[in-house]
Amino acid sequence: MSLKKTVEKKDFWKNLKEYYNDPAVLKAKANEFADGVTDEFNPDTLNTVSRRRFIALLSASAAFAATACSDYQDKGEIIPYTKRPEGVLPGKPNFYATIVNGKSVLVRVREGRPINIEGNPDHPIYMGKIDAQSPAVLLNLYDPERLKEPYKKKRKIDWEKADSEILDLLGEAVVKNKEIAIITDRIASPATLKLINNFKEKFPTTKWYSYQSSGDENKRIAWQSSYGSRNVPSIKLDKAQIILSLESDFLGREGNTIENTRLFTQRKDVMNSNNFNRLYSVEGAMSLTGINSDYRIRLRADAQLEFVLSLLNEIVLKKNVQQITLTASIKSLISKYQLKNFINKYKLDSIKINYLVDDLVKYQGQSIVLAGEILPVDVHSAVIMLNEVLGNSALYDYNSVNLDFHPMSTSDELKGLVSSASKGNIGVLINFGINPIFNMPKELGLEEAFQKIPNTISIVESENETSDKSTYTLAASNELESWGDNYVRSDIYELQQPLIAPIFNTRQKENILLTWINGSAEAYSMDAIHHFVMENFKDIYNLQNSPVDFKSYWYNALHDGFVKVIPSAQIKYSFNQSSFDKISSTETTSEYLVQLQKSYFIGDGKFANNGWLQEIPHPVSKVAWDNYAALSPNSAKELGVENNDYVKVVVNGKFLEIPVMLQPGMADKLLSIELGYGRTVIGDAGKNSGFNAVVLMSGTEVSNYLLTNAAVTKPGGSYKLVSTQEHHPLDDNSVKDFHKIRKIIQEGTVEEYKKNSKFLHEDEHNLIGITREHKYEGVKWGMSIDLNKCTSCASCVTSCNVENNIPVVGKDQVANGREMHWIRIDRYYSGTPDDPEVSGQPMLCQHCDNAPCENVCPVNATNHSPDGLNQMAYNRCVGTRYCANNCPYKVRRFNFYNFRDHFADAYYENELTSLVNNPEVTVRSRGVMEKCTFCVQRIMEARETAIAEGRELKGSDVKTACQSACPADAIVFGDTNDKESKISKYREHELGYHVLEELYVKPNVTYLAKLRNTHSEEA
Amino acid sequence: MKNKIDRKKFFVTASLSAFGLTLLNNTPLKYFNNNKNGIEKKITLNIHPSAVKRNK
Repeated sequence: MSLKKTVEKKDFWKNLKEYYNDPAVLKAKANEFADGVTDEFNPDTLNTVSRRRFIALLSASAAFAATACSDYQDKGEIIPYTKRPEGVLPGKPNFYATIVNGKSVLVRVREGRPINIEGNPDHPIYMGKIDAQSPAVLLNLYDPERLKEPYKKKRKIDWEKADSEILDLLGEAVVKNKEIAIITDRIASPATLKLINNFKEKFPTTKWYSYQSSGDENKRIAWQSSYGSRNVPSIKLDKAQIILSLESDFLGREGNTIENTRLFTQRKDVMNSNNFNRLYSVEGAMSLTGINSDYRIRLRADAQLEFVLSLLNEIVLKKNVQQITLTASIKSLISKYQLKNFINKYKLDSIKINYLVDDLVKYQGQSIVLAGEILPVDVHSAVIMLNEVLGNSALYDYNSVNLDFHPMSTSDELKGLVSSASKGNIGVLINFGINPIFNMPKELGLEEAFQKIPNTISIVESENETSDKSTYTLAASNELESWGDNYVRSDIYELQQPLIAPIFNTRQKENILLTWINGSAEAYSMDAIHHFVMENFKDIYNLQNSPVDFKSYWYNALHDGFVKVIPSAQIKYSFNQSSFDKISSTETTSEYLVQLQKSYFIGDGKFANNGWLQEIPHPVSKVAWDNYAALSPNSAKELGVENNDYVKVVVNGKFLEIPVMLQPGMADKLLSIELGYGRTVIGDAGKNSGFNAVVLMSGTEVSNYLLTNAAVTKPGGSYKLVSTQEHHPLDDNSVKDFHKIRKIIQEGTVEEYKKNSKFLHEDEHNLIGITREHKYEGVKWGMSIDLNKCTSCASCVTSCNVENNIPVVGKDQVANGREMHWIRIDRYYSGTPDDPEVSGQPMLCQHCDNAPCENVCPVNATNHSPDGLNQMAYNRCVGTRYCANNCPYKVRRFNFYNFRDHFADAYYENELTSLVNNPEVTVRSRGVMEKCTFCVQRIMEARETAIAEGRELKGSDVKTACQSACPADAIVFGDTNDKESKISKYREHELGYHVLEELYVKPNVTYLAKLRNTHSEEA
Repeated sequence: MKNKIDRKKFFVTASLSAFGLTLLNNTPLKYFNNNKNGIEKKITLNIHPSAVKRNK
């Protein structure tokens, strides 16, 4: 059979018409193209828009659309200086000495904007150190909600018009013999003092009131009574072998904490362990000083007077110590107080008390007893007596006296103010930069009295509760835009200069007063206050017998920020024993005591809108963004409350509901609450932050911060307090003392160290790594932190925040553990909840040689530099967070959001606040990991300088921000390859150890174990 | 069916609309913009002429 298939010819058709041989189909087949397709082509009929033109129009339309639809903001131009301002070198900072927050500082300015505040290195008190609060004041300068111009009844007004109207009002008040009340804070400026006196002369019906929330007024009253002077000498704390602190938080919030910390920690030098001092802290509430003490005794503040009198009895009558001869009446008074009975009454540890007495007696003239500012006048008088008896007045530095220019207004005077206002006797009230409606006790009735004053003027930087009720709100310039002076110590006169011209239409508050004194609105000149301060400075110049002319002396003083002054006459102190006769001890009650304290970071509420300061965790409780009532675990159990539960506190008919935080180490039946929180008229950053405890204060005793006979109940409900450190029961076996078991914290005692200096490393064994050791040539960076000196004050945290553009994340993110601080202070308890031992430890990136974070980054965003730094390339990071997962120290911080945008509805995402950023440090965006860089920008700056000078870079050329700020000099940074350097000595020290050393990640931060100076080898 | 609007008219209309939107964005809508921080003017910083600088 053939394979060829015969295919029958088939007809294929596509449609029925074709099948039926429709002629139309046949015609269509005949023509290749259908009708109309091949019409004559005429180019003139074509559209004139060519393809080229079409594309051009399309692009232009797209550009317009993009412009219209996007939020395009003109970010300005970058143009080089054609005429560079004198002294400004782009890329190089300038430094200016001035006064910020009452302290002499050095401000770093880049191209006209202040970006960092550090201590004045030449100043004999500060020596380049700063506290936790002052650097963050920068954020107040760049606060988007600060006042930008003056207002009258909430409407904008011109300065000239405001001045003119106010001058008329002042004149009218004088004519009608109405009082002009001016309320200020404590004035430490001689120029301002002179200004106020001039104002009083110009307007004779002026009465000056001054009020300070949480000040040292009680101490000064006691000194006046005992020595005839309100000027209190500074204390040579570095010479004190024994320090007894009675509710005195001198390391945290009283006096000059920078100087106190510096002097105190000079006697905690491991290089000279024979010279350690010993701190006894007798307090009810747990304070920063308390957690740094060698011995801590729990005692409520209302029992302190009895304690001092008992001590006097024991020391004078039993031990027969009398550096001064006491009168018979005093001996009779103190004989009623037996120390043994006191110990039994308050169930104190008799061993500790005996140690205390023995030490005070042994080290007469080399010890000091300090009374807390919140204690009543009587306690201060008793402490003065105790110091005199022990000869401790040898530690008073009469060459450097804390001056006092004017007393604070008494309760009666403030009541007089309110009474005058209520009767309509006040014509004008001037609020000079403070917030009396918020800070003064509500019971005084100032807020109600305000309504009765026809004209009220508030000169403030930001809106507050007082300016909200004022007729005129005059926008005051920030400190960094102002002239001024400070004469706090008798031997040092400090000067304040403006670094920038006012950013907004604001005026310095002293200059406003000066305009009114000059009597004409047209008399205002921005420079008037400059000349006034300069003229006032002539009084100091004339005292100095300087060989240079005044102008040179003045410029030199501005350059240095201060001048050393030889006072015209030394203040004479003569102890008057009769002041002691007025003391009468009050019995303590079994009811609750409420203790109102100054806030560590936000002051009296002045910094409540400062995100940096709100976010720094409380040094003891680690709570951020709120205040709370600290309560002992025993008392909490009695009340049936736990952390975050509300308690209702009632004192003399006034009440407050506030959440509780259980605080180990608190005395029982004691509530400690910080002031300054709960502000209502405030920017968005500080809104809904905390509870206003001023409502509990008494209007009859404005300096009384100890409120007795408080009734505390549990009303129900809770409020979430956020803390950066977990709060778990101290007796929970899974976590009890884990920091000591894991050797995160290693401690000993001075006695133990003296007996065996190698005690820390006795049971160590050699660690073996699996990777080849790398040899670092040249400089290798390392850091050491001396835990003997570190007081957990958090100055390092603030200065790091300012230097490295750390964003504020807000309360909700802190609750999630997302605070962005590159350095944190971990706080550990050991022992019992009633009597815990507290250990603090700054924790930051350890820059490990075998960094576990570097190996796991999938994109190599984190790697190691040749000089030993663990580096971070932000633009490589894709945000897997594996590195943070692997980090055993948990020091890596992830930007879960663009926090500038996320916090408080983009509160800090604006042109003004962006000026606070340090241009030398990248501003990180969302999705990027960050951590401590050992201030690599400072290392680069030092390296550039060394290259320019043609020399090698030395470890001592670089000071990290935390190191510069630390008032205790606990942080040392440098080249570990230089065996002569300080860092190498600390690294090799017998007390040096690394945290989690057994992991063999080889961290480059060495901690020096804390030695408690107890009487035995055991802590 | 032929388009009633030709390409020229279409793109001229589109461009003019976009331009109009741009203007609208810049003037009336900006007034209603939630500029709660109240910083309307460009911020300029000037070093104070009397400030005395120093080395660190």
